Amino acid sequence: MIINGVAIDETFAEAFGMRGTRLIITAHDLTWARHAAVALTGFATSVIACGAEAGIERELSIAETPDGRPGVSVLLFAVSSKELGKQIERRVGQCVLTCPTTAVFSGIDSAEKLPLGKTLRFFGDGFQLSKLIGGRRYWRVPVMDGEFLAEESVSMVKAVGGGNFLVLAEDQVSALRACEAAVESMRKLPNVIMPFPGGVVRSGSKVGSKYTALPASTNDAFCPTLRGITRSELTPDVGCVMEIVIDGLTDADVRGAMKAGLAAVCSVGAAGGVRRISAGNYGGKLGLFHFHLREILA
Amino acid sequence: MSRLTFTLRTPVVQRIDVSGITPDRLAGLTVESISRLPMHLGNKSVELGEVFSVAGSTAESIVLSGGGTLDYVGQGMTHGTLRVEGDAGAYAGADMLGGEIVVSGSVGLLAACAMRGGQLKVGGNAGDFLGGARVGEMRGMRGGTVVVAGNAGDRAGDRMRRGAILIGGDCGLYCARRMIAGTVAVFGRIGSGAGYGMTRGTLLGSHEPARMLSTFNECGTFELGFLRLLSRQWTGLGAPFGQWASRTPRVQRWMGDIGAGGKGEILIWR
Repeated sequence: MIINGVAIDETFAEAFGMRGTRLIITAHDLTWARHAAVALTGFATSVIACGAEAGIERELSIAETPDGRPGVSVLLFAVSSKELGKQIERRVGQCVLTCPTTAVFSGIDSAEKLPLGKTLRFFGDGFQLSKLIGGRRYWRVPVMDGEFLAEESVSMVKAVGGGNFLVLAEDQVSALRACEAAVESMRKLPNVIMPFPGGVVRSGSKVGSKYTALPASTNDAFCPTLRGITRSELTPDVGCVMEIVIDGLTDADVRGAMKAGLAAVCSVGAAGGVRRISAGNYGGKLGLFHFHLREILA
Repeated sequence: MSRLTFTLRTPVVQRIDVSGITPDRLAGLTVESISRLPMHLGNKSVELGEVFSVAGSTAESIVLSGGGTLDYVGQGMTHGTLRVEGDAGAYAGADMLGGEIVVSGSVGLLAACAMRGGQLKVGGNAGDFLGGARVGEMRGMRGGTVVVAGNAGDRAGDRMRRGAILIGGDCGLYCARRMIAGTVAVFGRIGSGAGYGMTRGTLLGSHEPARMLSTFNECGTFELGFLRLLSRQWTGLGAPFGQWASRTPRVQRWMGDIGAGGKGEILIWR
């Protein structure tokens, strides 16, 4: 399959079942909501070492937030409900509770709940108060700028993490421009995040390493500088490879985001220096979800 | 829409226990069998049909002709709607779990006592102990919402544990007395002694109480975020209950009753 001069590999992205949630952070204005959201989603690129993968989903208008203030919706993913609960408590406690004027709410509905204000309330040292409003409990924790308002719990859903595709281009600039276009079009979609810096990864990994302590190491088959000494997947015209990783609330969300991203890369095309599109997988034995590139683009 | 109507055959001066007239208790019964149900009129037991003429079908929606002697309107009701045309007596909405009771007139003593869910709307005034605790009980209202368009008597929200009481007009003495938790909002004037013995909970008002108890300490004026959520819940209730939703939630805060732990609050909108 070749689209606009870009070859689409006969391969698939292999993604995994995860646990995900959405938080809504509001503040006096969008600037402070964004400060909290950026801090909360910091160091959350990969569950391998960060504990969670997180990102800003979108900004919310005053009509879309529970308290009628500007806000930001954030998606968080982790490998288990226990880990997700731990990450929520730490990240909200250190990055939202601390941020002036903010409040935090659950942004998704399901029967499975994780504590939010339920544990953070203890910061109030006995001065915290709760209110049951519209069937939901909120905690009012006294802080130095007034009160920090947090919904008691946040819902959690089964989610999908690790959808991906690789952009193979003639040089760094071409790969970067194509990935930027892809991320821009994918960010318009709900229910997905691209957790890496700017949505793009340059250090794609393979499972395992020659060093026994490491669970993953560089994906040498896609490293252009190793083309001559490893079993390379790269042809001579490829000088740079970048990857986009997608986490979503459902496999349909990940599929939709991949479709938008792949279409954007293809529209940059060979004229923009893009040569091929591939995807990362582990032979299909590890991940529950397989996203075949050619099926998505068909 | 089909409904079941109960019309008083003649005005009565004795107390009538109408607790049996609720959508859940009358579900599946015919008009004839409903008319034969026993009920208390004063100190006598009579058949319901002797007091009310019954017409219509489906018990999900009930219309009751009112009177100040009709006690226990909608007691323990779990679903459906019960509309009272006129006044209701004591204990309206007592032990209510769900559904909606609408009284176009006023209600007597102890309306919504031990209420746990649903909504009680009163077009007129409410008597003393609105949402309060019955004699011998440690807790008053435990959930749900009470909306009174007019005034409320003394001791509204006495020992209230959860839920919301909204009073469109004035309230009498000792509002939120011994309150355990929940919210009482008064859009008119608040009488003296408000919050006496209050352990937790919120008394929200437009005006300071006639005399603030010395056991309440002033904390300052603040914007409290939870009021945005709370006031938004009330926008559908019309005037005056929706008036706060469009305003900045800036309130002056007093905490007390210091003699009972001091975690209750009186918030006055500024």
